[in-house]
Amino acid sequence: MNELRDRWRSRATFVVAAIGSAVGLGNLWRFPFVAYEHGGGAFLIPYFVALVTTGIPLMILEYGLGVRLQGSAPKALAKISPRWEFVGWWALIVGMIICMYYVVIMGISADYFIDSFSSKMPWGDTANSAQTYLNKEILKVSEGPLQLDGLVPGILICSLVTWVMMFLIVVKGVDRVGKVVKYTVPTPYILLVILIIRGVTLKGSAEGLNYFFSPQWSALLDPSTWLAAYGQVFFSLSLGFGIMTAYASYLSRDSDINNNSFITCFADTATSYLAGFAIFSFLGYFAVATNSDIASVVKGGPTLAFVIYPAAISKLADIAGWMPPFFSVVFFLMLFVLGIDSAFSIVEAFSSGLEDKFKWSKLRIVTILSVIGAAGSVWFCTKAGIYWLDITDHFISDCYGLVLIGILEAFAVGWFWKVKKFREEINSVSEIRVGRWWDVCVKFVTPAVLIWLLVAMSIDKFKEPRIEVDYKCAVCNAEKHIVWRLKDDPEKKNLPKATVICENCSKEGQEVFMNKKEERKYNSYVVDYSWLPVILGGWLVVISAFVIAVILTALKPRNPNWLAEEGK
Amino acid sequence: MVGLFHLIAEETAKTAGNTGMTLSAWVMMILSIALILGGLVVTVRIAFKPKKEPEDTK
Repeated sequence: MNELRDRWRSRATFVVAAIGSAVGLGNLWRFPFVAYEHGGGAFLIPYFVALVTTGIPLMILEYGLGVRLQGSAPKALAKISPRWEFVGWWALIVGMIICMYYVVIMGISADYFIDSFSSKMPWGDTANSAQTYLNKEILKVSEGPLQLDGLVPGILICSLVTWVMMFLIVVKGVDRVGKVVKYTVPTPYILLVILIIRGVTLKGSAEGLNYFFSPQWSALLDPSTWLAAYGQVFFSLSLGFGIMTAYASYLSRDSDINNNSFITCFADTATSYLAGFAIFSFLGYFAVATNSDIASVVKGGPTLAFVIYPAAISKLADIAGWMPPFFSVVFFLMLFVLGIDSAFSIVEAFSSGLEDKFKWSKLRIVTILSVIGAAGSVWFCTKAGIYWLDITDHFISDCYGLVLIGILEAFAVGWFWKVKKFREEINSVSEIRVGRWWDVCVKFVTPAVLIWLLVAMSIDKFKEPRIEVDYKCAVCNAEKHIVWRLKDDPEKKNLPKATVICENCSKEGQEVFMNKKEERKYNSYVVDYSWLPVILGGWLVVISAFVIAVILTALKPRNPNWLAEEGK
Repeated sequence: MVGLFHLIAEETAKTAGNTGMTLSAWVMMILSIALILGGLVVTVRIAFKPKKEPEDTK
């Protein structure tokens, strides 16, 4: 029986916590950029198709496993068949590794937040000055991944404080998580609305929003648009982490599954679009204020959050001196709060798995996880941390972690379990019934799309350091060149300069300004994924996660009711 | 309806110093909001609608 399993105080608490977990930094810095790059307003169509054919079905699957099998991801999957247990552990370990660097990103946000309490923003109001500030003052970036060059105290302290906060939230179980999410989930929305109101009333905001919403219908014919939509849906909803299964396991067996999945998915999408308003209105203003092309200021990922957006906020000083500090505080606080729900949900999911199998106390489990997590984060707080963040993210999150887990999860339920019976069970407790389309999505569409995503991302990432530019070699007259490295732009132009090296004779050519397409593929820290130490480091992380998952699967359960039938 | 909304918004934007959004951008924006918020509102309403108590058969 399962009398001792924690329970959410109410359905609303569960839904809010699940939304808090799904909504994270990706909604803010990934979605608007992906939408802009793939058809603008027209991206709505592939995104919705992806949401209905993969996002919602996988969410129903993860909730369904948690609610009906009353266990964390390893336990629920072990109940399907003991041979699938390792997938659950793998999901939790991958999540934990992601959490280690996610906390560091939150630490960087906290560092910026502290720096915002100043009458003049220290990062300046141009993209170049903000990039220099990030590299030299915040990250203190070393020459390459192998030059650790010591720790960065600011980020280290902020990251460790974040771990302490997460420990205090998770150590008391879902009861305290439920209380915390009441504040941490609505807060980013309030802050986002403040930014939107300011953003859309700025001069130039309409130009920015035009870029975000104007549909380019031809993009719908490009397969990469559809791939981007499926990727965005998958990564945005916190699928493949085992979080949703763990959270849902704290609901009773007769709790709704389908409608809760719909609500979570719609809320996540709504947040992404809201973020689009906040991002593009400011980018439009920044482009107009600096008299530059919007395409040259549109970035995704950390460059958007820590370079372009802060520079745009600084530029508000042209309107009023109080604005930059105020909106900077609002923005970085929002980043931090957006991240913390997602981060502690990962720790909660892992602790739930260990509790289910080994019956250790919550205090013991959360202490161990927090200490290991904080120790892992220290690696990303070195001066080479940003390189390893990129490498780990590429190997464990983009390619060989989450996506693979999603595929295995869909296979386990779709092909090695009674999928039709599972659907009927789910429907019997749900307000909205799902039809046979769900079986088709779980069995065929989701695995096929995720395999496509996995292959395409692997190929794309390995191709990235070789970007061809249209430049003729003065030595051998060959026309094929590749961008070799970025250099500081002394003239403070919008587009960075690059040194080109001839692919034919290997001679270093002169410096050229990259065009927008080439420049967009770059951020300031270029990791060469064909370099052996990078490949070894990346695979070491992937294999370690897999080995730990296998060890945890092989360990004997200390809970006598590990795979027993659960009560209500 | 969308055209009228666009016209009003464009005039407002011009007053604020903006050139205004294009009609197609307005249409896609309104469509996105309607679809997403519509979906969210409908599902939340279903979830938190008071449930009917089962009738006493005795």
